Amino acid sequence: MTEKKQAALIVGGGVAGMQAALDIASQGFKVYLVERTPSIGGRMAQIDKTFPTLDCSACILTPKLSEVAHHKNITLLTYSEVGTVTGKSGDFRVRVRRKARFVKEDLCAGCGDCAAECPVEIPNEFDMNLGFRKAIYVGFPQATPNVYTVDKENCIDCGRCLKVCQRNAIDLEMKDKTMDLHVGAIIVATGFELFDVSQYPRLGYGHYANVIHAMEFERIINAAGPTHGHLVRLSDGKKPHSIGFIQCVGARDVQKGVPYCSRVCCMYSIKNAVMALEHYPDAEVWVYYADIRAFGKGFEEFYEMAKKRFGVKFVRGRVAEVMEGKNTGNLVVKVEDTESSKVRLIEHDMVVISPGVIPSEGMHTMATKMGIEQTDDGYVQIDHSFFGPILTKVPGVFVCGCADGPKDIPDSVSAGSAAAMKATIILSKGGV
Amino acid sequence: MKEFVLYTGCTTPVRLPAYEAAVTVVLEKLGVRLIPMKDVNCCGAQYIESLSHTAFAAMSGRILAIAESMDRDILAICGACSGSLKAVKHDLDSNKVLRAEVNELLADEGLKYTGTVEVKHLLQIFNEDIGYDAIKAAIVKPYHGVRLAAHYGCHVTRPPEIVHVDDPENPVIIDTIIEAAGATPVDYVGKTRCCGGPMLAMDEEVANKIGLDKIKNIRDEKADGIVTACVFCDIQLTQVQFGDMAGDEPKIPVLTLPQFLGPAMGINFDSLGIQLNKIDPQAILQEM
Repeated sequence: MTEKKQAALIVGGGVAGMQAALDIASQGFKVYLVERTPSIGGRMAQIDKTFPTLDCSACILTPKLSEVAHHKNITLLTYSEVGTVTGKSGDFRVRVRRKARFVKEDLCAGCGDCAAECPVEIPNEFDMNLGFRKAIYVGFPQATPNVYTVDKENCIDCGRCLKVCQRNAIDLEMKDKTMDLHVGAIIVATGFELFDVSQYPRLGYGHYANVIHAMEFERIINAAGPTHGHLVRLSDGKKPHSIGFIQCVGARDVQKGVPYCSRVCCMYSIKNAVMALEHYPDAEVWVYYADIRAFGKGFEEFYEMAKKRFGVKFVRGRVAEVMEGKNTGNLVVKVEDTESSKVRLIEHDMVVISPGVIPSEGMHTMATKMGIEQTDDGYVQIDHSFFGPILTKVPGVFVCGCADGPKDIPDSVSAGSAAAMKATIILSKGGV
Repeated sequence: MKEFVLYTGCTTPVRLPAYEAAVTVVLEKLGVRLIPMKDVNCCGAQYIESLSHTAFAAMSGRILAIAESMDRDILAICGACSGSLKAVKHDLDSNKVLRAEVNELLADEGLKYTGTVEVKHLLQIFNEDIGYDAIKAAIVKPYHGVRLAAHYGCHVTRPPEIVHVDDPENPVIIDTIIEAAGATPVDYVGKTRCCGGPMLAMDEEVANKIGLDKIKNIRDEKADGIVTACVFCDIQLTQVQFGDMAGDEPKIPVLTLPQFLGPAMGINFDSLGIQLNKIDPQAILQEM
């Protein structure tokens, strides 16, 4: 394969951005992959199992992380953000701000001696703030690049890490740097955020310890998570015997400004319900839903399996209220079962709210920089619903993953590959 | 001194006159003067509303038009009334056909709705026109160690995009005032739920069940009293404790917000109509 000098920029190192990077780089073009956090991997790295196959998410993602990190045509710019963007298709000038991570990437070997010595413990964002990390940290064991980062906001400048680092990789005086890139095409793969479910006070999140949301559940059941995979309640560490999953929270709700369906919540919750029963086969697991949207390949079969083989109980009805019992920490879900037209009160030890998906933080700033349009919901506006699902309104700028709307993993990967194809058409024409 | 016209609604003067008395003296002391409205009608809430929207709009529209003729914004102290007046104002401001229809009816009396007056609920006056600092400054005999449960009332805070009072799912105004007066606001299950009052006319048993459920949840938190901001809620939460279904538990005193605030501001019990309360609130008022 001949080396080509044309380059593409990919913004966002989740599974969609990684796929796009690999597909472009494997054609011999150069790729700059910019990621805001210290590691690539995105949301998929946080998820315990995938639906509908129940694959271990990290197990299928980690080889991809290494592939991206080791690809000779990919320059990984983690802990970095896009600054200004100028130019046009085939000839973009992009300024990237490389935030100081206070550890030299070329020297750090990821041994972890520094973190062992660091006296500061902070809730770990990667574990949805349930577990702890140090002020010098990697978010998770497979973090890529395997380079530590100093969280200067919480660092107390004690210098103990400096003393134990055998490679002198730590530089607490490091400054942010800028880097200017010249690229022919840009792919926006900035992903999503979860809707803040505390905006529904009636459901008790943030108020009752045993009401958690789905991403917290993912981390709790994950073997590498804060409880080492033990599914326990946050109030008292006890095993939950009855768990309720609440669907359509921060999705399909005009009043909260999220009228659209988030597409993944039905399936991830059915998967989580099944996983709860994999942990505790004697448990009772209930799912409260508006209607189940199991549209993808193998989804309906998975839903049937959850009902018939695992005995997950499905109640059609949007939950009105979650109440906490006196002294027990147990929760009572109030819901109208719309199939029997009865109001029911059902007690659980743990309630898991399934948040909808919203555009990632900073999407508007990003869109403004790129000159791309946004939909009313805040996602990237695509050029054509049928023939341009990964094209933005700006030639040379493409979009994939959840940046233009909620997607599951296979759809995000497909979109990543599709965006890569569109980008390489431009790169192949020469230019930069 | 700020001035508002006071729309008392039907229920307050007949069934809870102490509420009107307390509102007037407490607001006066906090720099808000209330001017009574003469010859005003029922707002039409729920009862007329469910039969004819135009008639409902005309009834609330007439009240708005009278306030316009007095050139003052309206203070409504009842949840349902403030809700109706705000909803109808919203309707008349956005629906020209309805406005023309209503104005045609009002023309008989020489009244006209043009949309110049605002409608405020009592909680807004405290929050927006007086402010918590001024309330705090007016407290001369703070409460000590009293636990109080706030009940906001459905129509006071809903629908939020029309009434603009507080977050209906997580309201804070009464709780903040309870705290400002030195007492302890307590949270309880179902805080933002209905009192059951509007159901009384249709199904007394259901209404009482809803009301008693609320009382039970408040009792569970060991609250010494309930503070309300709606006349109907106040009456319902009181009467429900006297019914056959109530049981023998000691009754929890129910106070309207100005009745709670007044004593802490040094206002005598008589002007606040404390002796008219069906459940004697002395236990609370002694803790100052």
